[in-house]
Amino acid sequence: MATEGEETTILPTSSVALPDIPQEIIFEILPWLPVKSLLRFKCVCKSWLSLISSSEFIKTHLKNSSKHNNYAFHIFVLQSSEIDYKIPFPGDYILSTYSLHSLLYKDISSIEFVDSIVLDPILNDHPIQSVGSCNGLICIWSAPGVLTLWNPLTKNSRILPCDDEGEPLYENDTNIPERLRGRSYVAANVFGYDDLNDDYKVVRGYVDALAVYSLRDQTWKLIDDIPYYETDYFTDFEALVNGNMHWRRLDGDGLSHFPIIISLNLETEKCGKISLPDDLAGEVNWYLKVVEGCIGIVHHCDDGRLDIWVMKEYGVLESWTRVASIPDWEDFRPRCFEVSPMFVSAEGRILLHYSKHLVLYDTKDNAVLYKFEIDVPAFLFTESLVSV
Amino acid sequence: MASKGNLTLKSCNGKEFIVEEKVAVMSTTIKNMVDVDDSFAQGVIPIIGVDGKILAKLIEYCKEHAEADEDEEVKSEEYLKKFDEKFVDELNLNDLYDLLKASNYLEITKLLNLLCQKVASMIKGKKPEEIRRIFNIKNDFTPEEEEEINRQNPWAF
Repeated sequence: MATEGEETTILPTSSVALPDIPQEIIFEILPWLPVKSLLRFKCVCKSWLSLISSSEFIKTHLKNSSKHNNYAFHIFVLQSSEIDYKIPFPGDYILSTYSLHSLLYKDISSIEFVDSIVLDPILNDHPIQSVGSCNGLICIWSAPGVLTLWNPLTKNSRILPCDDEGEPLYENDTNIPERLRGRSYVAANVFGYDDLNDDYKVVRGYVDALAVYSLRDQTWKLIDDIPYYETDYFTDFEALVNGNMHWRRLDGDGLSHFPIIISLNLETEKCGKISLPDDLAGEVNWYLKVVEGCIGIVHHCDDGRLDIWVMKEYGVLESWTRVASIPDWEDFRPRCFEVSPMFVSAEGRILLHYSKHLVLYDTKDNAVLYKFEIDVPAFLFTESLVSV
Repeated sequence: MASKGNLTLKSCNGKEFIVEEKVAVMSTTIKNMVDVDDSFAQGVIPIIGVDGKILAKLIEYCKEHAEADEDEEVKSEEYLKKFDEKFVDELNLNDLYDLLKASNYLEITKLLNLLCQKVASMIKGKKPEEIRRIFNIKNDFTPEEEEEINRQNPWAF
């Protein structure tokens, strides 16, 4: 037994010492740390600083973020203005963050509040809206139409080039204001990751045209020659996945008209089709959603069931998977409400957001685990060191 | 000698374990040995630097996961998650350290990830000076350099 003042290898349970651990193992451990710890540990020594700052490390960390055993890096965000759920912060637009782990596994009364994120001063004083989140970045719309990409944990942000009215500024094309004249802005902005080009894209929809921002090129371009494209398809149901825009369109052979999924590659500007799962052939009551970075379909079936499909591997028809099938959905919520699947856990718990409600549903036991009211926008994001 | 489909693993202190091949090849290192040299599949595979106690732990882990990989119905994700949690929670610091090194050497990626997550959860709230003590790291920054780095992320402290 160790006496006081003696060098000892027996440690009190609260302290940790792993002095002989090889550096290669330390470098395996670090990508499993939360962003806040990593920022703090940059000053540990020079080799840690250069590791944590490297693009390779940022990628590994991001990959770990999404597959962490306890979803420790998944953060559930409520966007509020003056009335915050936990902390009053008058005058500022803030995001309250909660642990997704606690939302999935704990009693509704013990959901863990993590932090309040106050928006950067540049975003304050204006009404804001979150356009979407992806790989730890959030795209924020602020009046009159300014878009900002923002990593709330590293506080790194970039305002996308725009004019006084919040309209995109196209650097290399002076004809564009002319081409856009008279076209009204349709309302939706979308944000997503382009795996193929390792790029982040923001799309703003107009009547018969799309403005596309590439973070890699840091420029806007206009796509205004789109086959199949019609105004009313740019609603709230676009899916920007894998560098392709997707929307629902009626396909007709003169006899029947059934909805299909059209894709537009934002790099090559080529159009294509995404095949539907067989179960959906001829069905009409469905819409597109992005579910954890994949194309998702929410289907309100005729018998009152709600099915959620996810195309796990982009473009691979066989990878369409029905991740949830909720038999009595209509009894418990009429179909006029749009449903957003927010997260599907490995054990089949699915977090749904619709109208003003958040629901956790267990697909194994076909049971609603909880349902509660939230009257502010909510979204999920995963921690990352990705910079804009 | 192990029967067909089984492999014999020998720890550094001479303990032998007969395990199913599908369990043993959860280790990429063992898989490569067996793939390259058929004599390993027949004879005894020495696991250098890993003692009997740690090797038994490794086999316990690999057994659960190999069976789950084979038949998802028998062992659900939920079951494995619970098994993993219990597995790491019951480790003391010495075993954690030995298992980290062993799973790194044997390239058992799933287990290495699990153990790394455990260590990460143990150190995440610590201060930089505590981290240096835990891993016995020398601070090679001047005070000015350190201050400059910290100034860039004041909210992290």
